Amino acid sequence: MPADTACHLRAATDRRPFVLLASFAVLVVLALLALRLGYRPVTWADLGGALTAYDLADPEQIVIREIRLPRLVAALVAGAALGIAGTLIQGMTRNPLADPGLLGINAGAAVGVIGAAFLLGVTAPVQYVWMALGGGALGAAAVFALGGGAQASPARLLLAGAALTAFFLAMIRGLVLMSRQSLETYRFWVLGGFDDVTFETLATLWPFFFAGALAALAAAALIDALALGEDTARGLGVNVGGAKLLCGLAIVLLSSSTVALAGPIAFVGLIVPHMARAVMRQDMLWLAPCAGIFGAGLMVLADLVGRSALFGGTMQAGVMSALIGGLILIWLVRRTGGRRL
Amino acid sequence: MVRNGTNCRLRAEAISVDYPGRPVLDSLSLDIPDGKVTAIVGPNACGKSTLLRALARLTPVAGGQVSLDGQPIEKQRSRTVARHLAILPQSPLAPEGLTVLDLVRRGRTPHQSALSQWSRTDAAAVDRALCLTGLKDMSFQLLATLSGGQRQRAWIAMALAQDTDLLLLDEPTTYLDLPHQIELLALIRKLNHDTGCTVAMVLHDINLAARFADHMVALREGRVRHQGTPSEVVTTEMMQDIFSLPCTVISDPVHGHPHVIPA
Repeated sequence: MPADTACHLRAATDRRPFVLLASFAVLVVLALLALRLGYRPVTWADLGGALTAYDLADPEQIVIREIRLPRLVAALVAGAALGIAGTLIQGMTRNPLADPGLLGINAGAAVGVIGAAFLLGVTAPVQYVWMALGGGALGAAAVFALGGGAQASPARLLLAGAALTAFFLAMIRGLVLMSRQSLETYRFWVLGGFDDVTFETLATLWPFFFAGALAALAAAALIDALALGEDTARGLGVNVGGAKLLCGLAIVLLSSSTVALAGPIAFVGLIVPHMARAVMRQDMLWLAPCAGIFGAGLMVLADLVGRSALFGGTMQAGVMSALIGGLILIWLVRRTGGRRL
Repeated sequence: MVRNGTNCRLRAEAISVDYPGRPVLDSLSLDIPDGKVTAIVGPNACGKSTLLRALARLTPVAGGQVSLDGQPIEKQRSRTVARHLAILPQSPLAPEGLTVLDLVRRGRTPHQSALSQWSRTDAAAVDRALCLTGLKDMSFQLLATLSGGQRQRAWIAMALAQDTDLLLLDEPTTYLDLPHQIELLALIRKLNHDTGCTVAMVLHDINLAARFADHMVALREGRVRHQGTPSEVVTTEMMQDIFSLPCTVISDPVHGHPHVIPA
């Protein structure tokens, strides 16, 4: 077959750049809507002013800059991080049901937060960011250690995660039963949302997100090789243990920072990779950015719908994202018969 | 020993491999002759797959060493080894939704790093692998939609894209029907002829091994019992010794290779 025909074929079938651009455009529109819509009405002019020529004397602009913008940035970052972490873990474990929460990260973070509330009386969100981050990272480290470290098989890793999560949840229930203050903290924190996000929290956490994204980038090609089986990956010159550790590091950084930022947001890390794979095929360097954009979009949309009048302005983004994402997943399963999941 | 004048880049030097409770390879030495097609045969559980995996540094050795270009293979960077030696494990897995091109591109992994971009060399190697295996027209098909023979060819194309001089294949004909087995082995023969690459593969079928290999190695209980050209190796005595199978060996009337007819 002549080379130009092959090039023509490639051009006709490779719609990946277009998909990325289009979803990015949708994300920008969603982001603008998230800044524009809310309890306090603002105009497009206020929005333009707040973004380009911030006027501290204008209350509408203050609402946009001080309340909606940090909230939007947090939703973008959290959604993207969960989408990428979910894609990495499903690729690494070759399990379409894997979710960053299965590695004990969410449960570990919850123990950190409730433990801090119970033992130290810490209740301010800014304070328990570190507890959540540390608890999540420790939980994941324990799961990797129990799962066999660098030699961990995917199944063992997920089983260790399930066991440790059950153990952590039992601890949390115990603590919550013993102290009313812990219960209040937990009840509020466990839903997951962006009500208390400030630029201060974001400033604390961004290095972790950034490091996680870099690790994900470095791990991407290795995961593609690992997806062909460990023997094939070794044959391709991949250090399998090192690749798994790097991938695990990326997952832990991204998801424990997210749980510190917004609480345990369930389901996004599970669903978004399926959405991305439905349009992107298997190539981590394309799949992960796509999952990042989809995750960010889903999170912003969930937050937007959740605080709309439809739900009395009080539905947490973590609840809403599971609701919207669940519907999308059902549609994907029905459309493909579950074959591609 | 391999006959004089043949170089051997890949050698096993008195290697031993133990699985828990039982030795699999027992101080086994073997040279893989350069530029030839070598077939490793033997009964089930004789250690032939383990030998191939040890040669490809997939299974660590308990004693002795495998050397590639005179250096111990496990002392070399795995990525460097992967630029000289490709291994196709037995029945490899592919994730769903992978196209032929996606798979073959992954053969370029050892030639890339986090910083280097997909280069013209990479594209040329992938293109060459697709052409050699006759898969160019199917580049954009999903692996799952291919026949077993085509899928196996796609995996071989991935190994070819690795652009190595040494190609190790672990039972490449498993699960293929006879026409596809012949097609695949003829492809391997052609690759060896066209590119001069060294091939070492584990095969079950003695008659196919005798027809398509230059050099045969017969294993029993973790030791090399016979090696040489097919006509040197495939004899009534060997079949009795290795497989305990009484048989007659005739000369294949079409190709002249030794042919086993079980009694």
